Amino acid sequence: MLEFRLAQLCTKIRLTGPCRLRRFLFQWEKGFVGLEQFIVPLAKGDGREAAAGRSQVLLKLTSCAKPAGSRYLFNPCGAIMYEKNQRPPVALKHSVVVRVTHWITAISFVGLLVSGIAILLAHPRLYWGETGAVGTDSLIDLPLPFVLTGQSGWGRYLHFLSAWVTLLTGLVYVLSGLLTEHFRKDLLPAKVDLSLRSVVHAISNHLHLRRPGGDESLQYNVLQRLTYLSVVFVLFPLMIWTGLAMSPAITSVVPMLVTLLGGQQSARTIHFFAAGALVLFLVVHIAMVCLAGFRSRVGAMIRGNAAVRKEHA
Amino acid sequence: MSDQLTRRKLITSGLAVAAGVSGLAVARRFADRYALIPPDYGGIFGVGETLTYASQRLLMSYHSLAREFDRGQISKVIPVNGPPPDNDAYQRLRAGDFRDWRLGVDGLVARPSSFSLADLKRFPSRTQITHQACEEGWSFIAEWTGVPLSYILNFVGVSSQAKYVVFFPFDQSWDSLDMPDAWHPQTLLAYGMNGEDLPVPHGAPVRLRVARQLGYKSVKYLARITVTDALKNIGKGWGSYSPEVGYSWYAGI
Repeated sequence: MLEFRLAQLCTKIRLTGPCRLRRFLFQWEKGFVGLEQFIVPLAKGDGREAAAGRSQVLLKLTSCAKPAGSRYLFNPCGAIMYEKNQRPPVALKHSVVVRVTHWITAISFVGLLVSGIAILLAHPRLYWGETGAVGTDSLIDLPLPFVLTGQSGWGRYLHFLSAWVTLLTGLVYVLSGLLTEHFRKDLLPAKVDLSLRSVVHAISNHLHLRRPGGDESLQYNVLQRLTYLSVVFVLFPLMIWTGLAMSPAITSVVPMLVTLLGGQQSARTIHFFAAGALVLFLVVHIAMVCLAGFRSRVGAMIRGNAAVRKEHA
Repeated sequence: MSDQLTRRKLITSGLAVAAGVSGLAVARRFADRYALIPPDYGGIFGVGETLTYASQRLLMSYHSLAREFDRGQISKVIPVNGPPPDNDAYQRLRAGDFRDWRLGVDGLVARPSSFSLADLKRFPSRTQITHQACEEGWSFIAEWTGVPLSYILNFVGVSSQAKYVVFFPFDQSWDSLDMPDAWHPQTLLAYGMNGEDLPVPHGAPVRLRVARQLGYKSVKYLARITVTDALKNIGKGWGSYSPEVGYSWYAGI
């Protein structure tokens, strides 16, 4: 796997921006073209690039017949190639499936959160193990009032309805993400980005609120990739697992769901903390959207197109 | 990548819509046939209830048993929600140590009967140590002794048209079970708790125990049981008192 900064390549095509080359097959907006590749190691002592351990790769198109209607080239890992004298392209678009499932999940997550709080307030204490009640040792007494006025009734109805919407939407999203290789292409971090230096760099960029410019802004950075993957493949599955582990009907069929967690009350406690992690994600997510430009980011998630030089939140 | 409507997309979406519509129609017939629609299926929340109930009924076999525990795991603290019924009928029976108490069983049965506490204790019994969670969030483990409801249902001869068993207690909290939970081996008419007679706060003389659902389905202070093929004429027709006060009929969660 190579990370490289591409310079002028041929008279027609210019590549810029850091780019990870996985397949030597680049794509026009419509249709594929093959590429020949030349790897030219950087000369020793060539300043910044060499220090960063980068190699230079020169690409030459073997066939650059432009399919009718195409405007620019981009490769499967998101790096942009565009014709000289053309404006930097709008490239990384949110697909229809991503946009629709994003907003359905946003609404159903609010439903889950509000109803989850209504349910929690009926007994705002957390325990570990199988059992727990007023009068037994608790793990945490949340500084919240006991609300015993039947708010958990609508809370439970809304919670399970929202859970179904979230689950079914999530299945569509995950299946589509696997089929279209959205996860592999856009979210799976490259090995080179998982180095300590690279992660620290990304964290420092975030802490200094440094926005990536140009083409760098056209793909997700390593922190975004890791965060989104954790939310989709760790936190949501954990919520579903711990939720099912609280069901006496489900655990009569699959007792391991609850025994592996250490008991029904442990499942409830983990459910609470995983929900807390998702709320933390939501807060940071919205904060980043605001920092990156609320209108453009929300617009991109509605209409699909992403303006260049804006961070993808 | 392109949002344009292509022929392939048109054909795909057309097929998807057709499959969706026929799928829904088939699902509806299937759900009716296999009793996968809960009595509180109405309204927007009913969609979630129906999905939960139907998927759990398809997933569970009649004999998937709730977890059972060791004596050592029995909880020392077992909270109680709500006082016993304060009506005269119950208080009189309680004063007489429930010697005059009778459990009537009627409806779609071959031999409508009524049982005294002594009758129930003479029948084969089952003792189980199970976990019970309250919908509020707390939970406990206790040992329950009683006669399996399935024994009583066989005793009175349940009609093949039966779809629900309805439980009327001495207070207003009536409830009902579908046949899978009514016939379930862990569903008891319990008269004993932790090795002693069932205490009044826990539902004396006899309470229902439904091991695969939340605590509120285990009706206390039983007075009468009716076997029926429809719930629409009982209460508001939503299957139990719970939906009338905002809680779902099915509580296997």
